[in-house]
Amino acid sequence: MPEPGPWWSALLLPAVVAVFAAGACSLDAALRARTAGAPGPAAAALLPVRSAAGLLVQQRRRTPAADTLLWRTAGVALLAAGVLASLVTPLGRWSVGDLSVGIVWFNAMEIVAWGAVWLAGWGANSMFGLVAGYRFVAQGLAYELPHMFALTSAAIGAGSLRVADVVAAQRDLWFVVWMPVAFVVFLLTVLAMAFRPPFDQPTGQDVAGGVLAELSGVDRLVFLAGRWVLLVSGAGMAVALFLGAGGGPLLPGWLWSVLKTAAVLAVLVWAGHRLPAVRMERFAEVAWLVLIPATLLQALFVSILVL
Amino acid sequence: MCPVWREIVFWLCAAGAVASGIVVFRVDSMARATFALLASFLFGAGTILLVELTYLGILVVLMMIMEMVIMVVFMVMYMMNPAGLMPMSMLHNQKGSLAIAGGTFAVLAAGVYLVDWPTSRAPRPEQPVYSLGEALMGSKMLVMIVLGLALFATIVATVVLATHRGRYDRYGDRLDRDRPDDPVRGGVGR
Amino acid sequence: MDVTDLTALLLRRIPVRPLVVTVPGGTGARLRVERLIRTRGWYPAASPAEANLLVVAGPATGEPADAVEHVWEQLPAPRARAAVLDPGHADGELAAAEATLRDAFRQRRPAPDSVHGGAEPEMAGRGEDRDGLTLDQLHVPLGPVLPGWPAGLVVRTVLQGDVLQEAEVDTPGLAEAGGRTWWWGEGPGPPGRRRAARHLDTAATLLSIAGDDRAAVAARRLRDGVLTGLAAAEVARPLHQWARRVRRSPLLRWSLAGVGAVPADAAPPPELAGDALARLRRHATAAEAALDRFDQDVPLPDWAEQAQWTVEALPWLLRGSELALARLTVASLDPDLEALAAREVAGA
Repeated sequence: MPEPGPWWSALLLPAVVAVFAAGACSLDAALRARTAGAPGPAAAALLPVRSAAGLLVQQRRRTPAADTLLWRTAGVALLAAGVLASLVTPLGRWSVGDLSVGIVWFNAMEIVAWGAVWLAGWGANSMFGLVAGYRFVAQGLAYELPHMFALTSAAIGAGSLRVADVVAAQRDLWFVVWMPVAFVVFLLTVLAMAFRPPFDQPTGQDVAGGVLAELSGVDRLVFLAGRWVLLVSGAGMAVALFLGAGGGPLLPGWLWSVLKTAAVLAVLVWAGHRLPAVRMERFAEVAWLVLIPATLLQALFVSILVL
Repeated sequence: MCPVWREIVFWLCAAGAVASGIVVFRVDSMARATFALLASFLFGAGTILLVELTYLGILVVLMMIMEMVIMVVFMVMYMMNPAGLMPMSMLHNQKGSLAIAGGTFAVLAAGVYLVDWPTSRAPRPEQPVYSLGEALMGSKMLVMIVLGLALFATIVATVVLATHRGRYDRYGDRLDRDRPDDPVRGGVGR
Repeated sequence: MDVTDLTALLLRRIPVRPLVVTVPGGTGARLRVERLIRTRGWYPAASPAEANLLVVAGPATGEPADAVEHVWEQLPAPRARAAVLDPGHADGELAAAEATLRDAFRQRRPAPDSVHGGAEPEMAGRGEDRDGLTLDQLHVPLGPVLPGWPAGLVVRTVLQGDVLQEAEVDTPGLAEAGGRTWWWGEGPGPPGRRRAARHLDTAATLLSIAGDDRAAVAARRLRDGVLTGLAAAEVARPLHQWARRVRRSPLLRWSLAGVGAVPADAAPPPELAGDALARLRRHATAAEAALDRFDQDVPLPDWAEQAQWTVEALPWLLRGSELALARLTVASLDPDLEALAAREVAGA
């Protein structure tokens, strides 16, 4: 049964999330290097560190007539929300804050990304950024509604919005077993909410990098870090809600949490590599006509079982 | 949280809400106005969290971010105005709105002091919100559920009536087209 | 260690992010540069903000030169540039530019202007949109400098939201190219190889715009293999594998079907008929077919004719389409404007 950790766990949280994010980023770089036939995938694993260093020494750009305040706020908001989304996710027995409505908190922090991405695109006063930010928000409901119903299924299964209760309810049977649709939709929409490939149209090649088109230097670093952290938070929550959190034989709970989160994260990164971009106007129809009904039926199924 | 801190946080939230509310009308870009309004709502959510209405407080955060961003979409739809390329005033009908705002404030403030508010010595219930909900709606739950459904049906009906293109536009007068005639092709492949 | 030492240390380790700008007449240089970038383990940047190395492939004079200078102004420091005129000199030019980038002394000069002249949009009043609402419009040129965009092409658009209300095609700088055309004429090696490579090159661009980086990189590797003279037997297996995957991928079919569809009554050249998906599949099949006659003197398709048709068709083809669809449409048609210029020079 997860319980709130000591006060210093709040200081540890950003570090833990950062390690996961760096790992995912390295895996991404290594996979990319292998595809490209570039020298040494092992060297590519260090690329994120070198890239970060490169962004630290790079000049911060300013574009003419930009709304600098809102533009720079975007990355900070994205990074902060990404870390705060993990506030309620248990690592083994402990979570930093065990809110009674932890699932809603997690979702609220993910929604901050809507505003952040839009601001990053709009604030730069660039047409590609504007179109890309607009794309993400236009997709927002198509991502959020299936995501929310997937979260709802887990909450109904446990009869509580508290993440600790959801974890406790999975002691005998992981939720993924009897709500597989919700699990798959949750993973899809986690990728989508973190606008990672294959849902990376807001930063797509066709709009010259989209919301990233004008960002450079430390602003770019913060924004990209925020995106990875958001993905890590999503993977962590998938483990807590569907894969039994720290539950497992032999190993201690925290290690199970780490292993499962790393595995989910690896699957998400790998999927981003294998699949071509999901075009938004096509996905919108699928989300509304297939995913939302599917998750609603899943929630209904869970409700009937719980009754 | 000890009462002193609670007091401090409350006043910070209250002052922040009012200050960012003022900012809404002092900036010259719709995006800044929208996000100042969002800040105001978030400060409001802070006061709700202070009275331990966790669900309501976090829901306000979630809903207000969504609403403000959706508002911004409409703004972008109507105005291709990246980064406030063309500054615009956020003030309309200044005298009228001043009168309405002043009047409302006067009425509410007068209400605070003039109404003889009841006091109670009963102990605070375990779950005040839950009890309040029970007291307000407990005996009328069926009515409330039906009302909720009716409201939702109204929303759906309004959208259906307002939509620019119906199924006859998409599938032809005899509904016999294989693929709908849409400006942009969707992904389900009907 | 003080700050400058630290900066020098970091500069020696930062990854190089090149932005390759191709001007008309620079196709040969671009192909070489792209291969070198890949084998050095660099990753191309999607925009000037992301880049720290500007590589200009081809002779930048006249109007293209202004565009290149405009892009250079947008690169944040530290930065370096390389001009590659002759494919043979590409390796040396890139190495020199990388040395400049990593040299703390030469990077110490502050960038001339802290405001980077971005592509500032220009308001253009209002107009009816496709739903009958009166909305603001922006005047936005697409090209000439845009990753994955045909060299020398500019489409001047009126944009509402992300819908192109108007599109006008312009081809600045073709005269400066002086009729040099790599695919069609001056490129080295037998035409059979150039033909296969051009199909792979177009497919790679289309795939990267469609967001399938894996298949795009695979196509570029095959293209480079074909051009560096790998034996047909060596290329055959990976080429068939790649072509099969591109033709069968359900997600590619799902996202490209119906994109940029050319109506039959527009009388397109047979190679350009159908939608982006059909064109992509055709390129994959044509690349496979060229395999048998790799080192023969096969006739090349009339790329000038295709480019001519595309330049004339783009305005009505793009009108009313969304930006993403427009990019896919242009990438799938991939007009070789150099061939067009060469034909005009030859005809004159």
